[in-house]
Amino acid sequence: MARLTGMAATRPVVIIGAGIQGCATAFFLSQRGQSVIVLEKDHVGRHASGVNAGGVRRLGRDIAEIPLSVASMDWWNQIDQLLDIDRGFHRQFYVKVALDDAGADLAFRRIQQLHSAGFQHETWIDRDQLLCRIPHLTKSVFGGVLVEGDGWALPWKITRAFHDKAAALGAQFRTPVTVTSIDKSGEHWQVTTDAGMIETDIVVNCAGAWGTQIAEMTGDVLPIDAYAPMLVITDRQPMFLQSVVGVMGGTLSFKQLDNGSMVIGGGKRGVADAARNLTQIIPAGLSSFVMTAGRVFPHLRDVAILRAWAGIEGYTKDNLPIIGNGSQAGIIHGFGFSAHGFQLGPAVGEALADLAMARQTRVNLTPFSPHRFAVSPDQAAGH
Amino acid sequence: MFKSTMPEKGRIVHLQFDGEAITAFDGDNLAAALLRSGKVKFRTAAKNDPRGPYCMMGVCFECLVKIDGRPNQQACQITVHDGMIVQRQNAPDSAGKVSG
Amino acid sequence: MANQHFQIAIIGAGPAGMAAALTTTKAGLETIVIDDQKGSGGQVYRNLLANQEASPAYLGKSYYDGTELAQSFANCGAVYQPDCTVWQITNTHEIALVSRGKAELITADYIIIATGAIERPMPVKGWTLPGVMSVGGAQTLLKQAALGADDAVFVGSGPLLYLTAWQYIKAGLAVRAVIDITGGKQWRSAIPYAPLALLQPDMLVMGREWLGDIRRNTEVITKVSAIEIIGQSQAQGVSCTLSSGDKIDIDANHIFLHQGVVPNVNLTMATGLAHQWDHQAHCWRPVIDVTGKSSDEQIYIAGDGGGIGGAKAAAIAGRLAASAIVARCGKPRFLAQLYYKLRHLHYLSIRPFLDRLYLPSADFRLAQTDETIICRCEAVSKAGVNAALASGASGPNQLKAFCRAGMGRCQGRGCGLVVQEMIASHTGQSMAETGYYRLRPPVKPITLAALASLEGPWPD
Repeated sequence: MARLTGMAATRPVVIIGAGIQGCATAFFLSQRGQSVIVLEKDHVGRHASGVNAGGVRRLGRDIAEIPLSVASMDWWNQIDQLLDIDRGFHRQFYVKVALDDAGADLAFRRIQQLHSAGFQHETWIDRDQLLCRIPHLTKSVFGGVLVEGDGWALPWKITRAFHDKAAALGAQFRTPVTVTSIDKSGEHWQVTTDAGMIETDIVVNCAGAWGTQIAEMTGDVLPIDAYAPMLVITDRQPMFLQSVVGVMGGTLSFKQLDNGSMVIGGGKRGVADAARNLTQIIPAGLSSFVMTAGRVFPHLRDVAILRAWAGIEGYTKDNLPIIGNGSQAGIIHGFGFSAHGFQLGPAVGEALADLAMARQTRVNLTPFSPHRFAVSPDQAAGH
Repeated sequence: MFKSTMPEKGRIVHLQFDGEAITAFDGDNLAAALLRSGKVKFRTAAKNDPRGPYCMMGVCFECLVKIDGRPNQQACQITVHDGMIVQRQNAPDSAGKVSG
Repeated sequence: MANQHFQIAIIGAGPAGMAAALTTTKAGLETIVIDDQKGSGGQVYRNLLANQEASPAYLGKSYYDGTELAQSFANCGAVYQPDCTVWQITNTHEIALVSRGKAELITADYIIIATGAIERPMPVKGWTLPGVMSVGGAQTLLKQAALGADDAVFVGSGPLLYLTAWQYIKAGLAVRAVIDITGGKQWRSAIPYAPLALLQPDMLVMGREWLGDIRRNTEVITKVSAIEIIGQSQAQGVSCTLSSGDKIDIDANHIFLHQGVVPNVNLTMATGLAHQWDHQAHCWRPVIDVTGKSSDEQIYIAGDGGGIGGAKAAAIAGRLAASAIVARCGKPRFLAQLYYKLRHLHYLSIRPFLDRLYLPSADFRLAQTDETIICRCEAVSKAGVNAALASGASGPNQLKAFCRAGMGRCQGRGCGLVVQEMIASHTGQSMAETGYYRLRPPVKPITLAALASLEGPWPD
């Protein structure tokens, strides 16, 4: 590379994908004076970044992911100043409740495991304290694992805000533009799209569920599976909840928005058709996680669901994201967040910006290395 | 005010609307029974915006009332029963408080 | 009914659904008819069987024309499930139902969607005030509860408006005024299609009778350029601006609005079927072949939900779709299909004329003042939609996120076409390019307990 470490490249960095990771990366690069072009095949925040459950949590994360999540929380705590927005982050607490002995057992083991790894942010809260803080919880709750200061944000609003701020700082967003090939040409890369070709030194792949295809264009075989986790939103109700609630041993996420409606996610997957940008709701799956919500908040019996939806998201084999340099110089990957990348967005944007400028990253990215899935193209073709 | 265009007949049933006694006929549609009693305002939307039945076929959701304690019932899709307790439904406003 | 499989599932029991059931049951196919309403008939023949006894003459011939169909349907042997809402159809043809607070899943080899029409939104200032209803709503009250209001004002245009005003007059109700927004422009574009409409002389004669009786019995105001409803907590009157610039204020507590009907596409769109923009009728319609088959081989669409044609065309469309399915089930009915197709085309011959004559002008399709509510559910005004457009919302789905229009209980039924047209006129794109809201299940709201009932009883 004919440029100095840590300095801005003269050609714009090309970011593929205008979800939260792509927009946050564009923001950090623009802030540092690096010119950026973001290519998005649909529109900003169209898929998982715009329509996820909006949980902003350190709670319950894979230990390998905690440092990145903690670093991201620093950004969340100053997100309003960072992006010139209002009430961008609803800092509350996040609790996974134990509904039975098995749940309580899981909770204790989890806390012990974190303690021995040197993390203290998850703590046990007993039944009485929990009912005091969330009076509408089922009276049969055992207690829960809690993180103070976790909360939620509106995914679309935050993704949009990163976009707006990056754009204000000079980032160019081109939508709807589809990348058709990425080719090495001497020292640099040629990114060919349905709206012309762009030459660049650095390509950042933030293409989410479509990340595999983009990686393939650069010669990297990084398989992920596209799934569509389902969510529902309810009618408005009087405010009763100032926290985000999940269950131990389950994947419920439950929150109440400012306008009184509740967003319920359950990790249950709908049908994802990434090739056609389509998702489909599976009624039985919806029913199952709504029932879990009922076990936690039985008083919501007559509350109406207004919409159910599913956003297309890319899942890796180990459920950890792919963040790091590709096998060829100038290619950087940041995708495969496996339905828990929203909170990581700001820190990932910062880290990808660091990689793009060949700077030392604040968080060790080794656990997320694309090379952990390394297979040769021949091997992949043999499958 | 709405009035009957045919001779009224049928067994009388008694309902309450926001505490006020209202009579209807057995088998009556609830929205129709309330309109016959001169009630046009069924609920408030956000910002205390008054609303009443609009489409009468179940697609506009403007005629929502609370029936026997259960909220969000489409009055135009409900048949009355004797002793039905109906209340106007006031939407939680944009600040999340129950208004009206 | 749990986990039942049927050969044919018909959704909707209006003329199309009822007629389709007659054909499928006669062919011996096991048929279920799922009806959102409490009794068969749909909107056009609502309460028709119950009205037989008293038989109020003011409802008119066009209503009682449905009697034979409704009676035959009642005896046809289909499983009839009233008060039951379809909230999703999956791509494996699982039909998710909810009835009286309980959800169920059934499956069917063939599905006929016959969910009819809804009224085109008519966003005028004050249209959310209690006392303002759609003309369809007013007519429903008359058919279902023998209820009408004296001194009401009818505003808008289209056959349903004239029919209902006529029924009001025949019922002995005093109609304060009919404000007819049909303009000279509409007449000029419709007239070339009048000869084709002559193939439907009955309809033309009936329309003449309605309009004649209306003119003899109430004040008809025409050449209208703007409408506004006056009132604070309920409607108190209509203020109407004429194209001459004059203003007429009319006191009224009941104001009925109508500017035509459009296919009710919520279920067909949420099912993922292909749709197209209908330039003539200015609405979305599902893409269907000559028999009513949709973009899904197993799903047919019959009646006004596949394109507005009226009750008689709907019944024939139901017969046609059902015959096509019966044929696919191994009982060829080519002559019947040909006969139904010809009759269907015959009934549709009046549409090019009516669609053009009663397509409201953009002034009435789009709101005229900034404070006019566009999305009734979320109380988003015209100014609110315009603000979202100004800040970069480029399509209906983005606009939802910007200003919440279309995010309420009605799932865009009351604002979708208006918002779409506002976007189109802002961006300069066509209506087809602009597209519509991405519709999601549940097609109608469903309670948490009802949804969870697929798993079991709600926890206490």
